[in-house]
Amino acid sequence: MPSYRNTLKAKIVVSIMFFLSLLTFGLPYIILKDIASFTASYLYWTLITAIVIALGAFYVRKWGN
Amino acid sequence: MDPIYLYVSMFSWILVVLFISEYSRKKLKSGITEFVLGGRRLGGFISAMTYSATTFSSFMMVGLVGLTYSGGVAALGFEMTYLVFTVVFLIIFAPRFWVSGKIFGHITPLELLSERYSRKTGIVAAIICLVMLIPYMSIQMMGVGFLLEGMTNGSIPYIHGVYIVAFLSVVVTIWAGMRSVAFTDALQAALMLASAVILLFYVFYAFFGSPTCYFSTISVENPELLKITWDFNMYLGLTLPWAFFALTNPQVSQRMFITKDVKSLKKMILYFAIFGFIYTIISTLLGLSAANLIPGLANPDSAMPVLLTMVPKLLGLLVFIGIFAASVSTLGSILLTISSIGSRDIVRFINPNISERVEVFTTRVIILVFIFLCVVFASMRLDLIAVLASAASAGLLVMAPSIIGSFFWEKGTEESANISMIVGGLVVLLMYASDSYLLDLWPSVWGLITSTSLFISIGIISGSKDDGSKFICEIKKGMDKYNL
Repeated sequence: MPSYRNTLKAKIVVSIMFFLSLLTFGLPYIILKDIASFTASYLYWTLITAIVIALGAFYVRKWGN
Repeated sequence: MDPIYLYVSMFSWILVVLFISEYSRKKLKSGITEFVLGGRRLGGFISAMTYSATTFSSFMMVGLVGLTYSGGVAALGFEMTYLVFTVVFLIIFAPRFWVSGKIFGHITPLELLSERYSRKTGIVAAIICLVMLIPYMSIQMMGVGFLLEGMTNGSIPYIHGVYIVAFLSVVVTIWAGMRSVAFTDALQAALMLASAVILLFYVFYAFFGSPTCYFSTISVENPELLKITWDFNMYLGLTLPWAFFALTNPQVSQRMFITKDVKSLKKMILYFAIFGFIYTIISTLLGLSAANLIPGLANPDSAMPVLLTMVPKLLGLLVFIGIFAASVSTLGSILLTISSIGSRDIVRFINPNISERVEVFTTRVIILVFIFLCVVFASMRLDLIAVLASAASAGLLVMAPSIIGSFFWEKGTEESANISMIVGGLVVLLMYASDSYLLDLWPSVWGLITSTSLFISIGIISGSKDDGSKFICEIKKGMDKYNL
C-alpha cells in the first residue's frame, strides 16, 4: 500500500492548494483592483486562505494512520 | 496614559513569565537537545502556540495595523498570502524536517543543509542567518519602544522599551531554553489573541455602534482603503520573502523538529493556521478602524499606540501587554535559535569534540552577545518596521532554493547551494544598500531569481543523481515508516 502522500487523492489536494496559493498573487490585481468594497479583494483573500486551511486539515488527517 | 500603569503592568507580566520559566527549569534535563528543542517531546497545542507566538510578533498589532492604516486592503493580501504559502509549505516540509530530526538528530535547520550538502553549506547559511536576523530581532524591541513612547506621549523614552524587552527575552531563554520559551509562548499567544479580540469588539461597539455599522462606515467613508493601492511590484517585493518565511526563517523551521509525534505535528500546523487567520483579520480590521478614527498620522506605525489612548485604561493595558508579550516571545525564540546555530553550526564546526555541557554554555553566551548587538541596532531608531522586517526576510529568502532542493532534487550540490546563497545574499544586500530597484523589481525578487537560477544551473553542470539520492532516500523511508 502506497504511503499517504503518494496517493492520487493527496496529490490532487496538494496541487489544488498550490494553485490557490499562486492565485493570491495575481488575481486581485487583475480583476478586483479598483473595486472599493469589503466583498472584493478583502473577501477574496480571506476566502482563499480559509479554503487552503480547510484543504490542509483534510490533507493531514490521514497522517500517521 | 500615566507611565506608572504601564510599568506596573509590565512588572506584573514579567513576574508571571519568570514563574513559568522557573517551573520549566525544574523539568529541564541535561543536554543540548533538551535545552534547544525541549527534548523533542512537546505536544501539539504547545507546539502550535510557540509556532504562532514566534511568527506573530509586535509586527502584527503595530506594523500590520500601520500598513493597513496607510495602504488599505493590500496589507491583508500581503499577510494572507504569507499564511496560505505557510500552510502549503508546512504540509509538504514539516514531515520531512521532522523525519530528518528523528533520523539524523538535527537540532538546527542548518544542520539539515550540512547533512545534505556539506559542513561548509551549513556555515554559509549560518552566517546569512546571523546577519539577517539582527535587524529582525531589533524590530521586536523597536515595536515596544514605539508603543510605550506613543502611549505616554514620550514620558517613557523609546529606549526603555528596548531595554525591558531585551532583559525579559534573555532571562526566559537562558533560564530553561526551549521549555521555558515554549510554555511562556503558549501563555503569551493566548494573551495576544484574547486582547486583540476584546479590542476589536470594543472598537466595533464604542466607536461605530456595531460590527455592521463598522463595515458600512468604512465602505462609505474610506472606500479608497478597500481598493488595492499598492503597486504590484511593491506587493510582490514585500510578499515574496514572507511567502517562504516558514522555510527560510530558522526560528520557525526549527519548530518542525520539536513535536513528540505525528499527531502533535498535525495539531501544530492546524492550530497555527487557525490562529494566524483570526489574528490577521483582527489586525487589518483594527488598521482600517484607525484610518477612519484618527486620519492623518505622520507615522503609520503610531496608529495602534494612538488608538490605545482612546480606549479604557484597562483595555489599553491588556492590549499593550499582549503586544509586549508578542515581542518578547518572538525575540526569545529567535535568540534561542540563533544561539543554537552559533554553537551547533559554527562552534562545533571549529571544534567537533566539544562536550554537550560546553555547548549549552556556549549557547547561553551567544544569547548575551546577540542581545547586545540587537540593542545597539534598535537604538538607531530606523523607521518603518514592516519594510525593515521584509528586508531581513529578503536576505533569508536566498536560502529557499537550497532548502527545497535538499529534499526534492538529487543534482543539487555543495557548490550550487553555496554559490546560490552567497551571490543571492550579496545581490539583496547591495540592492538595499544602494536603494536600487532594477526594472522596478524589489531586491527580494532579484535575490530569489539569482539564487534559484544559480542553484539550478550549477547543479545541472556539476551535479549527478548520486549527490543527494542517499539523503532523499532516507527521508522517504522515514516518511513511509510514519505514513506521512
